Amino acid sequence: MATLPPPSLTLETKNFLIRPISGADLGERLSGWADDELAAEMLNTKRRQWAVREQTAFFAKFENQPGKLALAILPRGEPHPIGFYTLHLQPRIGVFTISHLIGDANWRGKDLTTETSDAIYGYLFDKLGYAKAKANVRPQNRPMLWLMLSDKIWRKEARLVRHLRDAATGERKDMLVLGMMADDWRTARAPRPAA
Amino acid sequence: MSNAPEILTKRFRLTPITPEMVSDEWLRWTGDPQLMGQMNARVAKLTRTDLQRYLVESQRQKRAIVGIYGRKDGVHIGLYETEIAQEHRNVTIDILVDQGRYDLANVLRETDPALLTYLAGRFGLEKAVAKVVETYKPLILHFEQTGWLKEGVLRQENPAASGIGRLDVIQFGKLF
Repeated sequence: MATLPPPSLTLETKNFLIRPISGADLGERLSGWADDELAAEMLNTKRRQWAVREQTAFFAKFENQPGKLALAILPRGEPHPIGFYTLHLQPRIGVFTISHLIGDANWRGKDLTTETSDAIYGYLFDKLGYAKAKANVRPQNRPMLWLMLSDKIWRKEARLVRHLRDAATGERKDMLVLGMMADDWRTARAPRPAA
Repeated sequence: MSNAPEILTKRFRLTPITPEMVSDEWLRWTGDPQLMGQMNARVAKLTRTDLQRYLVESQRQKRAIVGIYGRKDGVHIGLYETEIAQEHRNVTIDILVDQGRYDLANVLRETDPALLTYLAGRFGLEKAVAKVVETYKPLILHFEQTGWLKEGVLRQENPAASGIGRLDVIQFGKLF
C-alpha cells in the first residue's frame, strides 16, 4: 500500500524548490493569480482579484487534512512562490490527483511544469509507492491538454458531464479526467538503449 | 419514535443505518465470497462492533449509509453509501444488494429514483455519480439500462482485492 508524505514535504529540482505553502506566502502578491479565465476556473471563482481572505479560505482546505497538500513552487533563491500544486492522495488505492497553477504570469510558458512535476511524480511513484496519477482538466484548457496529452503518457479517461458548479453563477461545466500510470511514466523516462 | 428520515417506495423502506441497527444480514454479506468478490472487497469475518465502528467513522467523514429494507417484513436487503460534495452539488453513491436473495436491478429500479429525488430535494443536489469496479457486472448493467451516462473508464484505478494487479473502474453520472 502507498503511504502519505510528511506534511513538511519538500522537494528540490535544478531550478526550483517545492514546499508546503504557508500563511506567510499569501497576500497582495497573489492577488492577480485569479485574473484570467483558466486560473479563475481552477480556483472555482470568477475572474477577479484574488482577495487575501479568499486565498486563506482556498488554502485552508489543505491544512491538517490527511491526504491533502498544497505545495508552493519557488525559483531557487527566491523568497516568493510563483505558483503551486495541490495534491489529493488516496494511499489505500495508490492513486493521487494533482492540480497545478502557475500564478505569476511572468513564469508561464517557461517549461517549469515538466521539471517540477517530474520531481513530484518521482517521489510519489518511486518513494511512496503510488501506482497512478490523475488530473482534472477543463476541456477549454487547451494549453494544459496539449502539454499533458502530447507525449501519450497521460490519457483521457473520462469526460464528466456538467460535473462542476461555478460558485458565482451556478452554471455547470464539464470536466475531463486524465490518468497516468506509474509504469508508463517510468518507461517514458528510462534511458533508451543505443541503436 | 425515531427522527431518522425515511423514504418509502411501494416495496421498500430506506433509512440511515445507526449503530444499533447493524443486521445479521450485513454481517453475512461481508463474509460472502461471491458478493465481496464482485465488489472487489476483501472477504472478512467482521463482528457487529466492526460494522458499528465503520458506521461511526463514515459519519465522521460525512458519508451516510442508508439501508434498504423490505416494507412488509423489515428484512435488510442492501445499502447505499452516499457522500455529498456540496461545493459542486454532487453526490457519489456506492451500492450493495444481497444478490443471493434479491435481484439487484429489480430492487434498484425502485429505490434509486426515490433516493435520488430525496437527495435532490433535501440537499439541493444536481448530479449523482457512481464509480463501479469492472467486476461488479450486475450494477454496471443496471446503470447502463436505467439512463445513467457512462462518462468514462478509469484505467487500473483500484488494486484488486486478490492482491494481484489492478482493476478498471467505470464512472457513471446522472443529472437530476
